[in-house]
Amino acid sequence: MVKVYFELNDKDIISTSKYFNNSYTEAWLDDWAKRVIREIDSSKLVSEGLVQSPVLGPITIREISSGAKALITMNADNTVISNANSCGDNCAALLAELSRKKDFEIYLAYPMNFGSLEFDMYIVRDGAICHNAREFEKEYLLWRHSMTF
Amino acid sequence: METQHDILVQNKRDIQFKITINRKFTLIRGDSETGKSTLFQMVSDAGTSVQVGIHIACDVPVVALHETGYKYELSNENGKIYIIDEDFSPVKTKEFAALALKSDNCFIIITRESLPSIPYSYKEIYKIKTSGKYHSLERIYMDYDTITEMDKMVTEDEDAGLEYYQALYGDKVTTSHGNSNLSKYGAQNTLLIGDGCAIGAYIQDLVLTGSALYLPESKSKLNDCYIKPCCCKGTMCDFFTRNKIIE
Repeated sequence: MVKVYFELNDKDIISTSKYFNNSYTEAWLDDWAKRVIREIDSSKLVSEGLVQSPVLGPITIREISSGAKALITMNADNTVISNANSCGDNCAALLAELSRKKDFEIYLAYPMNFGSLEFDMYIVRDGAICHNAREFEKEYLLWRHSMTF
Repeated sequence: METQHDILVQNKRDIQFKITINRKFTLIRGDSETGKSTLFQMVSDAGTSVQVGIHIACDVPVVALHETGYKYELSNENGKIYIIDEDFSPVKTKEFAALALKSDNCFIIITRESLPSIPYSYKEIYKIKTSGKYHSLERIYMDYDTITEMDKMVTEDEDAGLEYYQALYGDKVTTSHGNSNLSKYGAQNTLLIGDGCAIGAYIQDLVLTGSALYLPESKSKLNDCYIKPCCCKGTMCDFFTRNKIIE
């Protein structure tokens, strides 16, 4: 199940890209990472640290998208709250799938479009459980309406 | 400074971004792996004094804004276009918003945060459209420029704007007392009326409500007048200027 924080103190928010670049190990670059890089970045993890991108050519693992880095971090590192604001809507399917496989925590402050996907989500601010986009969007709006701008 | 600029960013490997900005604030969101970080990195790399193989063409300087020294930069520089990436945490603060609004610069902000302290148009929220190595911007939200009478109509304005729409549509028109509250009134058969050029921070909420939307705005000088006292609350948009018709 994924625990979702709509708000966090700045000190608890990670810079997805910089955190990944300074934290990843060989163990992070597993089958999940290969799949993320293939499905999000349309690229191929050739060997540890080397990625073949159709647009950029051969690049290092440090140059993959922030969305891909966030999804890999969610799977590999349970010591931080991953920053899902780095993930676009095209990350929703993999995020939903991961939520049904393992427990992890994310910061998500925008209404990611989950479409018809099913997922296991716990909203930290009020303890609600969401399994679909309608339930998540309702929780998102409840949070937004509770804010003082 | 003028807020409309064409920008070309390209490197010697033919990665190219062609961007047109129209307002003081332009936001870039959209899917992962469309080139947002690459765009920022290229502009950032070009900001060094040595040759780096990146060419930026624009009528004003286009530079990356970093956390270190940004307050001094915004307080002392003008006539530039700053690009900001998602790691720039001050972007959410009122302090940054105040500095940015006061400064005579334009800003391209890469973020999925809503940024309620910054008045930006829902029409200036873009995603990157990619065709191989070529990248351009594409608006995320459609125009909400057509008003349709509905069972319930809610306007963000509680003064002249409310009076104007009540004069046209009667007591079915109520107010949300501000743009941040507008989405709370969202429902089927309800039209939400907002000031389009400052509603950007709330557009995601408004769309989620499933309500009909009417978000008019003018075409020029938007955002510029936010730094001055102004009868239209700084927006210079149709929403408020039309109010003068019934005064």
